[in-house]
Amino acid sequence: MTGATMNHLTDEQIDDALLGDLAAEAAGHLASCAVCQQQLIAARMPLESFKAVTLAWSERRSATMPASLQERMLHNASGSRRRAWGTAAVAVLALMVALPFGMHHANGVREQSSTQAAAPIAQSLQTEASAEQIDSDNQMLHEIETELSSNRTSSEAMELQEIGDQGDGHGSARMVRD
Amino acid sequence: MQLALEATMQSVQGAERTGSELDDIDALVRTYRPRLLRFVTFSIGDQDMAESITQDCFLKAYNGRANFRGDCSVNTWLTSIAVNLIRDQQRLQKFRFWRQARATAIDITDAASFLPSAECSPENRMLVQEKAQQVQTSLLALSEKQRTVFLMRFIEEMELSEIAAATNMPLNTVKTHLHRALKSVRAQAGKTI
Repeated sequence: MTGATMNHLTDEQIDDALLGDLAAEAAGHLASCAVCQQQLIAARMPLESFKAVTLAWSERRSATMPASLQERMLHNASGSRRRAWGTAAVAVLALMVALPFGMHHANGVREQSSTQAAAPIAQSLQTEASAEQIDSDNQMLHEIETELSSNRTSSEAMELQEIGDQGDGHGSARMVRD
Repeated sequence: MQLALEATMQSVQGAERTGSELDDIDALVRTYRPRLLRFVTFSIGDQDMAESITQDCFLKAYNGRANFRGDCSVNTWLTSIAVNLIRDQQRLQKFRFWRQARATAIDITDAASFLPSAECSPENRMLVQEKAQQVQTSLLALSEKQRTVFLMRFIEEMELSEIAAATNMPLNTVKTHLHRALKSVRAQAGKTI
């Protein structure tokens, strides 16, 4: 069967053509058949449209992408190198701090021991002071709470009494409180 | 012998060229970002997550540029990385996919107005927009694999063998997914394809 005598392409073969996987015989027919060529163009049109429109959409979205995002990408890309420099800088700084301290340690062990002895005392004083402060605060809070509750009880009693004086007892009092 | 040597030399030159292309992350992003963003966006249906994945993709490509052998185009290589990142995200279920993302569907309606005016009369532009929307809608009905291979073939214009390599699927499986995807798109797009 030659290209001229072969039947027109089936839907399946049009799909094959779109996928670039058309058998040689069908491809031969397609090359010489204007009807099938037209059918293939029509089949390809929505796909080409989708491709063009989505690329236009994507290019526009990329163009309006905040510059900071690209900067961040570049920043992240060189981030590891920067982190390495950062680590080195921290190490140097630590060395600069540690070196005089070490020399000081070597020269004045007695001085350091007195400092060491003074430190727990200062710390314990601070702890005691803060414990006292906490006790004091707690006591003050307790007093405030007691005072408030006594006020509340008396005001409730007064309120009940006033309502009771006005009319019909508990029912009205409950309504007002609600 | 001479031919083989020339082929090897060309391959080495190609790898060197693309290698230097990968060294400039700024140029890399500028050149490939729109296409990659499009692929990721229409693969997952979430614009914000697509931007994040696209960014990760460029970083991964830049950091792993030494592994690029130059046996495929840079775009194909980037798409393969994107496919893996999308798959990782799907495994982690970090974001919603097409069905859940319908509420924040990607609006490409305005995009047709940015098509080159020389190619499109106003009538053609409307037709192009309509067809594009039909295809976009039809993507909703595809499975993840069908959508991925469909986009690779018809948007990224990758060869079937490249798709098979990028997705780690046998060639026949790729063909099967593509046929099903095409059939579904054709049905959804009102038999106009």
